[in-house]
Amino acid sequence: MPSIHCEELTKSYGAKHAVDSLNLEVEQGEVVGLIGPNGAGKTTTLRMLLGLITPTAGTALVLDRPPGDHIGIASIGSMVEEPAFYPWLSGRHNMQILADTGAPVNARAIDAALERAGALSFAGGRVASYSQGMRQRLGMAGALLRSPRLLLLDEPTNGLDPEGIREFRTLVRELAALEITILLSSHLLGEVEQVCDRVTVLLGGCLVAEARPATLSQQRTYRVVITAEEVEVASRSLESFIIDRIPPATLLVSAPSGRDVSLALAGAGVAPEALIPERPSLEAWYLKITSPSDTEEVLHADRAAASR
Amino acid sequence: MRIVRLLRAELRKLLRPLPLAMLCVAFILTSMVVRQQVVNLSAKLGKESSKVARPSSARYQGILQEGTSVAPLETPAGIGKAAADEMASLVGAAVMLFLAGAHVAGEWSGRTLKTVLTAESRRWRILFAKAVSLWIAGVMTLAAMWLLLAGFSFFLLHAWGLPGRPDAAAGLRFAGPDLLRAIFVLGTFAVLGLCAAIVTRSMLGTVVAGLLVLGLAMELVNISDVTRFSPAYWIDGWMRFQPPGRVAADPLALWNTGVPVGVPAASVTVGAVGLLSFAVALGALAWMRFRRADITV
Repeated sequence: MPSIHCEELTKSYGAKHAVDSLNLEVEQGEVVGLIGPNGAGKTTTLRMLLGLITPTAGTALVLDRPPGDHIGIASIGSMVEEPAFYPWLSGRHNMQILADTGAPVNARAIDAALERAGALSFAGGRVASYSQGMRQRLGMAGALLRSPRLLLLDEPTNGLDPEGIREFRTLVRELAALEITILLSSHLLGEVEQVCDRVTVLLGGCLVAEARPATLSQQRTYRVVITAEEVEVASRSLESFIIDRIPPATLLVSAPSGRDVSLALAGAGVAPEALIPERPSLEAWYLKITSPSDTEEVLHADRAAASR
Repeated sequence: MRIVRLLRAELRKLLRPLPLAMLCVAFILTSMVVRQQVVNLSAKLGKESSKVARPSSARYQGILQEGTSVAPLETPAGIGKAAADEMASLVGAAVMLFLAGAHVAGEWSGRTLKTVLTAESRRWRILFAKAVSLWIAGVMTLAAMWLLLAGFSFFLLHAWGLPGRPDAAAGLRFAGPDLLRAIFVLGTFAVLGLCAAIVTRSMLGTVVAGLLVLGLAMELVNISDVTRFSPAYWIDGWMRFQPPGRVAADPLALWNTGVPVGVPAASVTVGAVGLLSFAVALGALAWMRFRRADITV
């Protein structure tokens, strides 16, 4: 049984589709990253899964229950956008309010959640005095309060310092080891790459690509430096490999091997100044997916498929 | 038990400076109104006794009787009537609307509503707990105001002792019914605040919308064809701000009691039924707006 199952999930505001026919499945224990530019529909998707927003069309099941079902929600921990609290109260009082709202929690749960999120040391202070990182940690403690089976996290590392980000990474791995399903949205592609089993790209409300970071690393990326006079010729010869052009005379290409790149350049009579193998990254893949020309192709293909 | 815990959570959110500020404002206003009434009567009595040679004259006796009828306000128990009348009129309405603005609409402006609804997704429970916690806050304000005014009553007695010198029991008989009735009116104001907050989703919007509704209700009282259908008329009847046979309205309440000539003053029963219907209608409107509202904050 998947933890999340979305079928043609759509949310429209008038003529604008915030989320458009989303089909998504997340298996139990899987850590899935939801990435995409601002306005791609990531937060709207998470809100629909939590029952905060009613879909215009399509269906979703979360832990085998409809979104917002009161039994299902007790097993879901969430942090949607910037965590919000009652600023005139302490972090601990806010946690007590959260514990009293909804399914019962045991007496030790508040301290355990605060400790796990690294918020125990400052929980006695008023939230009004917290930094963004402290609020983020308190938000994470709130999400962990009811020992959830599923975590829906929206930009969970926002405002965290490098140490906080490292601790978050460790926490996600620990939770994943406990078979807790995690769906997280983030702009920090490096983080997503390190903690997620799978990444899903949303663009204009549509799911446009999915990949496993482990598989991506098998593709090779090269930085080809040539002279300015030969850029056009080199670009044409490497057309099928190019990911990006970096002015004035560097091409970023993805090819099975350096030999393929060398042969293509030699065929066009171009001798590169340098051919530098690069560590393949989620970022390069993401930029390729979301670059305007690719985006149009993907959306065009989507529309064509829909019209068929 | 779960609803009790939810109620506890909602009451904990009210541990903020605003309710205290509202209490102070309500107390200051009420003490000013009471003081003014006592001072006026005391001055009238003094003036009349110096003017007339025979204190047994009918005019003097009339003023004396008026003074005696107000004298329970100078007892710690009796001054509770002032607290009740003020809290069941515009002062109480304003207090409740400000509290609703912070307590209910504040969940939108503070962006905390998503946190609440991802812990308890049954929205009717949230609505119920909000309304009841607001009501409790209103009743607590009434009780605290009574306590503060009880202290003030000693000052009144010392400065302008009116004739009569009633005891504590007389004071309680004087104030008790109004205090109990005010609790019901505060419940209606709580639902009005809840509804205004859900519709407007802002503090200012809640206060303005709520006061507009009450202002409109007071205006409707002046139109004899629709007087009977105005919530202001029902509050008049329930609180007996203008009891049958009495020309002057209750001077302690900040309320328009201009029932047109020819329209009878509302009975307590009509007032109770009317107010209950008004609260139910407002609750239904709040529920319809909140039930499936998209939470995007």
